[in-house]
Amino acid sequence: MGDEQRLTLWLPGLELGPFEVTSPRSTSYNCIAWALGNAETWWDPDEYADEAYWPEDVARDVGIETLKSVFSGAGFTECSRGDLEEGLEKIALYAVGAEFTHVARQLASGRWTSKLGEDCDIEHDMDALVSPPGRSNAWRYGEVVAFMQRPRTESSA
Amino acid sequence: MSILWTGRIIARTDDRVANALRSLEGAVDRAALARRTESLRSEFDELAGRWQEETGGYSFAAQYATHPAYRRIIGMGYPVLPLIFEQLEDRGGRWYVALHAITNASPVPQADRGKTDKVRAAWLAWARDQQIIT
Repeated sequence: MGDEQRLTLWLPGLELGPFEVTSPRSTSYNCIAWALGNAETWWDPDEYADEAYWPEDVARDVGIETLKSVFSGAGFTECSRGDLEEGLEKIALYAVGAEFTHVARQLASGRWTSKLGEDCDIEHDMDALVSPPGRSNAWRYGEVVAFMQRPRTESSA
Repeated sequence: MSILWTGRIIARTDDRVANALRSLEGAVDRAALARRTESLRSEFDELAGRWQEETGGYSFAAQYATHPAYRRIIGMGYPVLPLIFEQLEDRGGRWYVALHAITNASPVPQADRGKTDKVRAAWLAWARDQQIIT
């Protein structure tokens, strides 16, 4: 089974629009690192997840406000929309209920890039990762619950 | 032979017997563990495969470590450790929450957390030290 087929089985919303696999699988980094433009670190607040880094000054829980504080520490501020705006780099925070599950980063093209757990990076439409029709909002990554932005730099283009 | 000498000989004999018994006990434990491990292998392979297939896209222990198959593997306890370490050695993977839960050990120095290669090496060294793997 190819990567596209496997990922579509896991995230059926990917069938609704084009998406591309843009990296091999990796356990070296996850979605938070990738949203920060880094492909070297696995982030997780769980104190028993030895593979993971977590900042000492951030709470060790999966509350959405905790995830916001991680990105606040990297210069992001909350914003209301995920549409493309010149000079701004945006991220979309996904959650099931009040617990964060995923974060995606907007590319300069307006499309989105995600690292899917220990699987591949993909380029996708923002809505492709939310719970598809017929599933509850608790399916996989749930829904987008917040956007954040910071000035786009050369390296984040 | 004086009582003192007799006492020393008995003490030395007791030590040798105790050491031999400990060694025998260790061999029996390892053999029992090996037999138990083999009987667990097919169940572990099925659970680990299902867990990896269904949680590979999750980034956080709050999602992947609460999967029923992962919890069942934790519930298999100490006898499943050789199989977890075998996977960890061959393919890596997010087994550390399970390892903490089963062993109550913490062999990774705080400074090495998040450094995948060092974390894996520390756990594998611990497993060898505990004679769980060779």
